[in-house]
Amino acid sequence: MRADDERDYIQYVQSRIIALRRTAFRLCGDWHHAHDLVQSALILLYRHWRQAAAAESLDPYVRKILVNVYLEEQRRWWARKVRPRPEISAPPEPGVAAAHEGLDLRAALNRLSAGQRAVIVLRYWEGLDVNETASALGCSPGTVKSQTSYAIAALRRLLPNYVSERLEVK
Amino acid sequence: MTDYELTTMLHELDQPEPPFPPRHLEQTLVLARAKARRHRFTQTVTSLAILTLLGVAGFVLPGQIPSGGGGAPGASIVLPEQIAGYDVLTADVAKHPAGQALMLFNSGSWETFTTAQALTLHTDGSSYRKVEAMKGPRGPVNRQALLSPDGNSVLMAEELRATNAFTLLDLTTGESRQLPLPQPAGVMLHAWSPDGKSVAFSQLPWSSDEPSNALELALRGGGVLSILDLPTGRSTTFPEVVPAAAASFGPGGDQLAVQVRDQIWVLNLPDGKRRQFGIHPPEPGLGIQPGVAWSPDGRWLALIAWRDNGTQALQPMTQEWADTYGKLTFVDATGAGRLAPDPIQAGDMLGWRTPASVLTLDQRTGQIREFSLDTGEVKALSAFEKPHTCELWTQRCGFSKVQVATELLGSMTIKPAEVPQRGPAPGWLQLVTAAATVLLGFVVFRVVRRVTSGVRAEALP
Repeated sequence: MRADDERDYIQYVQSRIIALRRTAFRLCGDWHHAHDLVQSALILLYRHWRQAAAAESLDPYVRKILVNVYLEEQRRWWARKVRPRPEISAPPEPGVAAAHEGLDLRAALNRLSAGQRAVIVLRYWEGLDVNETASALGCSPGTVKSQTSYAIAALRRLLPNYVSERLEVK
Repeated sequence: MTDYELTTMLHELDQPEPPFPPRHLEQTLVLARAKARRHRFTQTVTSLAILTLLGVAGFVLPGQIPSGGGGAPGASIVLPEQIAGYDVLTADVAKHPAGQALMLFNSGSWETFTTAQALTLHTDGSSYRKVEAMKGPRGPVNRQALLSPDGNSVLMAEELRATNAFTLLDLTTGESRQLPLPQPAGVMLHAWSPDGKSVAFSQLPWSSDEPSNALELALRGGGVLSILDLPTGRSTTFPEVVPAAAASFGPGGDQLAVQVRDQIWVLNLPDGKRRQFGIHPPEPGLGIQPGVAWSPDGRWLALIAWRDNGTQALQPMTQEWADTYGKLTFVDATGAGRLAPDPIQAGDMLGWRTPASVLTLDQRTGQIREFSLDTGEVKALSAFEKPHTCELWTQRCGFSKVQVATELLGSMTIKPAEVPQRGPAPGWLQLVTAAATVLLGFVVFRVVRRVTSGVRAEALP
């Protein structure tokens, strides 16, 4: 990479690395893992910097790299074997529900497939619309919609009465 | 669970963000640079590997592209300056014919175990084919063969055992025809008539299928002259012309010079009358040059030394017997007593290029030369290569039993040798090569992956 390209790259990374790490954390649920994901994505970005810099918008391009890195990693056999999956706890007592709710939702997210989790994170946590999510995942908007539907159904199944109880507590 | 509820719950999971690990960005930059270098290295190695494999494939599978018509009728006739030799990847002429042939010869080595092949060099000057039908009981070139004057056919017979039928191989189509003998016989092929319709040979009763070198001596000592008519497959014998040790047709095809012991007879084929040919002054120990003695204009007969070498039968002494041979003497064939050209120490005679020049092969150097009988001028035209490909690449290959299509010599031109076109490689080899290429590609891929993984590990601070 030429010196001026590398300067631009460093400048961009310094300005966006916190947001990228946040997205990575939302995808994987672990800060150490998020650092690794961001690092892998930035390494790829370095190699494809010219192409990325020439893209219409750089942020979606980099987000797409990050999501791909995450999904690719989840497809590897050792990721499926080694990464721990928290168990869903039994429904908490009403008094302690608030303390457990965050933990239970994280556990439920971990139980989703990588693709479904990515859809949920991008749409409801990152606030992307269907088309932006589809672009980040490299699939059609129809697929995003169907995967969203499956993911929410899975969350409902994993967390029965979760929302109603939570609302009651509030 | 509505969209809003889900969004709200997810945002409530957000935590205070921890600091980055120390030197996270610097480490990322180091790794990124290493990865980019590794990527360039991988691309380079992969490109080189592909080029190498393509090169290997091009070398191992030569001649996949037709060689421009080979010996197509009407095309120019080319003798290359270098004649290639043995190559295990040469295709069989019967399966992949390459047209008219200019030359037929054996190439190989017999040092430890026989790696030899009968090869045809075709008139385009670059196509070579193997004559698989020359395979005999003791090796790949254990049959005798005669190349026709026009280079379109090869006639084959057994050399070491009884022949049941001649094999006539059409070099232009690859098809062969069997010409059966009335009964099995020991056979020696002598000469092809100029019109290509008949072949002179000698024969004697011989029924043994056991290969034996005794057959050749028996034929030189007692073979009866016969003429094979190729269109009909019938043979005519001349029982009084015995032993017919060698023969050569006159230019019109109706006269035949025959070596009978130490005498030369001239046989008039239409009426069967014969006369003894006298050499003046008499010169003992000379006999006709087998096959190609008679000049195209009928004026001269070429003679070489004949010896018995301790056997009961005289044999023509070529340089294949000893380097000291190779002297050609010329005599007036018409009997008019004209002054013949001076003898020349030229090597083994291959044929007449013109009525006043002969083509010879020096066995010591492998050179093919043209000797002018009028001016004494000598021109080196070509030479045999002796590749180190015989006996599993441990021996240099030799060459022997070189024949030329005599009718084509006059119009032959000499050109620099091109890459030999040997026809498609054998099917088994193509499969093995394809499998090896895939395997090699896989190994290269794994090695590159391993090396690049090492680079990545080293790049870690």
